[in-house]
Amino acid sequence: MRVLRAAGQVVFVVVLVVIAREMYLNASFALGSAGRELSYTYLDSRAGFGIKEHVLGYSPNQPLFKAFLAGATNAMLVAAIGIVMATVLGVLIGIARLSSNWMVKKIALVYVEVFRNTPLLVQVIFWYVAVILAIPRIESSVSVFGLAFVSNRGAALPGIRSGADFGTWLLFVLAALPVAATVWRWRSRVHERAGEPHYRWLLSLGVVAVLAGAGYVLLGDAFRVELPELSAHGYSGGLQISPEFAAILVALVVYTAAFIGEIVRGSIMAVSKGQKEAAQALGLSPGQQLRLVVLPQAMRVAIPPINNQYLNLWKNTSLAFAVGFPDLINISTTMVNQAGHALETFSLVVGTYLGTSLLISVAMNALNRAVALRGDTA
Amino acid sequence: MHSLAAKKTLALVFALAVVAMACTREEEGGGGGAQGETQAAQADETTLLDEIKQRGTLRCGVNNTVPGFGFDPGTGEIEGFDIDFCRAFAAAVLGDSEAIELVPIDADNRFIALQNGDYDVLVRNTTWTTSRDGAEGVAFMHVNFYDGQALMVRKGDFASIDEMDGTNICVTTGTTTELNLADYFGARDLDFEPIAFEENPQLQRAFISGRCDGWTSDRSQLAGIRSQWPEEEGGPESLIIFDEVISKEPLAPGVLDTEIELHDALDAVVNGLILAEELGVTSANVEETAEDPGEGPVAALLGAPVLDPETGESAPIDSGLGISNDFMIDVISAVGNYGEIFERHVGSESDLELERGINALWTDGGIQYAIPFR
Amino acid sequence: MSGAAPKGPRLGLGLSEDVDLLRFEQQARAIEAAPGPAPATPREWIRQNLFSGPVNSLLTLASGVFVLFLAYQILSFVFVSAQWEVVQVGMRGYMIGSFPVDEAWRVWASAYLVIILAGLSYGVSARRLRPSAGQVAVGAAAAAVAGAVVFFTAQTPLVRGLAAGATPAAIAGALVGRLFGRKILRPLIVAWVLVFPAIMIIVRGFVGVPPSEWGGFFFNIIAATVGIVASFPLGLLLALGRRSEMPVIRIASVGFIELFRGVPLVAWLIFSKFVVDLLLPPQMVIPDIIKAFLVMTFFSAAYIGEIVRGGLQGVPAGQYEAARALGLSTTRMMALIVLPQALRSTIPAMISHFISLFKDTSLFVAIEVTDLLAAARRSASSLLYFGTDMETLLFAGLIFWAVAFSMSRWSQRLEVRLGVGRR
Repeated sequence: MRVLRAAGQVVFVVVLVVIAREMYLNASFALGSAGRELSYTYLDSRAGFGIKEHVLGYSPNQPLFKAFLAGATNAMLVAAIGIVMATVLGVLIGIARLSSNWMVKKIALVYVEVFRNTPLLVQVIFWYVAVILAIPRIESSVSVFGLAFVSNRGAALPGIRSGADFGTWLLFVLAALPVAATVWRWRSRVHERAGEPHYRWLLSLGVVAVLAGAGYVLLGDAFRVELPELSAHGYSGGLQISPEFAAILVALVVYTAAFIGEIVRGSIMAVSKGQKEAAQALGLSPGQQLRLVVLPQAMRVAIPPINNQYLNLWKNTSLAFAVGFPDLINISTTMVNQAGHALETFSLVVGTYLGTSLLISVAMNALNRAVALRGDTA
Repeated sequence: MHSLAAKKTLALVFALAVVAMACTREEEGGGGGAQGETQAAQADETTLLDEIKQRGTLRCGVNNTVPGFGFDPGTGEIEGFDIDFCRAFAAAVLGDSEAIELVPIDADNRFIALQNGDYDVLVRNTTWTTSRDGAEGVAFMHVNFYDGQALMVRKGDFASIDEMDGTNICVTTGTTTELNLADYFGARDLDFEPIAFEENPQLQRAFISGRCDGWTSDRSQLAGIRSQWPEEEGGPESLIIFDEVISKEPLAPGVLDTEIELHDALDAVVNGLILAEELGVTSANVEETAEDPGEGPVAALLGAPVLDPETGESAPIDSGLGISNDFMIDVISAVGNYGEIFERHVGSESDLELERGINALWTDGGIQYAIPFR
Repeated sequence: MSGAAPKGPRLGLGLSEDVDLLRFEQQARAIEAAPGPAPATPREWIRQNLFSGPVNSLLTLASGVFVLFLAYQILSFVFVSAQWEVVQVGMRGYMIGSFPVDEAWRVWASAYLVIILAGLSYGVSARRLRPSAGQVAVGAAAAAVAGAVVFFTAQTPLVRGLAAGATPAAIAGALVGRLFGRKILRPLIVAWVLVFPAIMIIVRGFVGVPPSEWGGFFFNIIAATVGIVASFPLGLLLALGRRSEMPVIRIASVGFIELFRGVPLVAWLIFSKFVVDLLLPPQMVIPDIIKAFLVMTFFSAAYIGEIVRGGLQGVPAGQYEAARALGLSTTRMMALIVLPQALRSTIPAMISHFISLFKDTSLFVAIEVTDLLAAARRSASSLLYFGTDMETLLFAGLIFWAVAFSMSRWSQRLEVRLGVGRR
């Protein structure tokens, strides 16, 4: 029996090796006959194409790997903001689904059934077309007290420009964090021992705020607030949000929130009824019951499925191609069309998606362990 | 339980059968109902030209989305500049300009489809480039339209490209358009933000709603789009296409580079059309000219006997193209000469209203120059 | 509570959380379906559910205003300002894309085949053929809408007749199914197994239409079905491989699953051309669309592998032990005891995955396939029908939604039938 097993493995390995060798030969032959070889040096060559929004700065004269980085960071920015917003909205929807108010419950139900069952691509295009259609053109841009502007070229809000001392100021803020952590622990201990209200959020955040403010005053040029300006073709300065960014973000948030809402609903209902009744017996208001007893237990169970939704959201940023938002896939496709080396670029794409997914899972894993009840298998 | 396992096996077998069927059909047939062209092409004796004659129909790969060049306005009938060339080819090879089958094909698949034998000749506003010659295995004929990348804006917005520093410009990704624009603007020290889309519907929506200040693409495409611009949005008069040429896009028909006979024959047709315009032969006068062509270049064009100055004898020229010597008579009677085709579909008689520009004859300041028939 | 809390997520990406989400929903539905207190009078009900307190009343009023506003916008658009002509003209493109018109009979034949089979199945399986009042209402509404669409968009009387004949065909099938009952259950199952190859033969056989010319909604359905049918056996193998004791096989299975699940489908589709090309011998030339189907199949197989793995985990250890005690070999144990139970419990997850795959077929537009959504966008961009983005998007979205929603409802009813979720 064991011999058979071992033999079976050997055969399998041999088959795999043969297939791999075949594929490698085919690949080399195909590349060789086209005069190309597998190499990553093309990433240093000049990109030649422009990217309209980027987190870290980019110009067409930069090398290709900078272009790839721009696409990747754009996608990560959308995903990061999207995850936060989707969670908030999703929890609200989930709670609304369980509301005692019939109207609210039905509205949430319709929301979930509509946005879950429509393809995400349809939704992405819908938000983009709806945004572009509905918002006035740049010539009739809407102005909010002269501080912010909105048009179908995007929104321009007051932004923060880092000054010369920004780095030092950041150090101030970082230094404040351990102090805040100490304050937190101190107040928690006081609360446990003496039963006094801890106000720990208020105090620790207050510490950070005071130190940050002190740093700003002392340093002089930590950062300044920059107001956007309106010109004939667009905005300059300030924090600009392009309509493409807004469209993909809104679509992802609305779509993912529908799924998260169902997860939250299911996990809340999975909390045993006894817990809710006990909380009620203790005299807690429905809001307190939800916040202090039900939700914490529900979220514990909900973390693995919600993690999956986060991963989906991250992967779904790839739909940005439909609205021209320069994300990872969009930029990679442009790179391949302009510079070839499809396999190498694809390997970068795979690596980035897998790597970031891994990061998200690791973080959620840590969260899961942190909230696991002692005695659970973790 | 037995039946369940049996059903699973059955399902598995059929799934594999389906996949196998899907693959094998493509390998043997290679595309839409081709009934043995591939087999014939593999045989060295029959060339594609012979096949076309045997078949009695010429299949042309065309566009059906570009007004003026290859466009189906929703009726199922495709018309345009390239279509007339397809007709010209059919008239030359088969004597019947309507013995054509138009195969609409999109940009990404056109070369694979040509290699698969889905159609015989590609007349689809295709730019002649070195890599398409080499890697894609296409043999191009004489350029039938010297196009170039251009920029279109709303009238009144800008007087010239130099005023467009810092503007938003709509482009399609995956084309050389992006690169060319970046180079052009960079050379003039102008900045721009590319609003890049993969597909035209979104791009068009963005331009119409004012998201971009300009739209860049081939001049031929822009002219076609402009010609159809709806009146509610201002109609064609509300848009201007700048004269500046951002890049060269020479458009030419193409065939598989293994089909030399077909290439030479069809190339002669294109040249013949230009030559006809040079010599003043039109669809109106071709019949009477054919009756009395003289013995010079016109006679050579129309396949009539030509005076050989050395021998003093008159004999028709046999260029060995594999088609009848007087093919140009059929061609010109069917579609006219180059100038007529141009004006009819993209020039003054059409909605595009393009100037001849560099597509004029070399004697008129353009660069269309026919190879002599000798 | 240690028994109730599930294990934390593995560090990798092969998570079976999709199954967990479904489990929640099943539990939630079971709880909600439980009979509640006796129904109150309408007045009491309104007071309880809508106006039970100041906050609640405010919420009700605010929601009411919101709903009315939304309804007004939508209805005024649909019935007053929308230009539905664009849908009428483009309908053939939406349904079959650039499928050659004279070969359209193949699509009709396939559609009728499926409709009749579906009708038969409903007839055979329905406990009583008299549907409830609610079902009749929904059915009538759907038929009315479909009828109106058919009436306004059909180009020829033939098309009108064929489309109108679909409902009677389904009803006829249901009646016949009811007549013969469980006697035709076996042949019916065989028929369902054979229907997909049959459709392939109808469409591809007799000098048929190659995949590169498929388009419209037809493409979405076929692509989704190809995906599921072809990926199911592979997914099964992957799940078994994942649980194998032989490390090489296990690692290979895990690697495959992680790779295909971790990268978005769009990326796979776009790069399918390049990747598959380089890995196949040069003599083998397969059309781009088949390469795309291939990667979509692998993608789907990875998900199915995870679903089946979840199902296998759910089979109690006692079953394995009992099978061993009976002296069954591994293959027999799997085939006769374990897999049937495992697969049965995964049916809702499978259907959910099929719905996802169906929605994902809209992504084929990234490789220039003209599916329903792409056809709708294209007709909205034709300069003749300027500004009809909303109409076309709504129409395409509605069709996708209708299919996905019906399938998810059917899946829920199936769960109740199979008693899944009750353990």
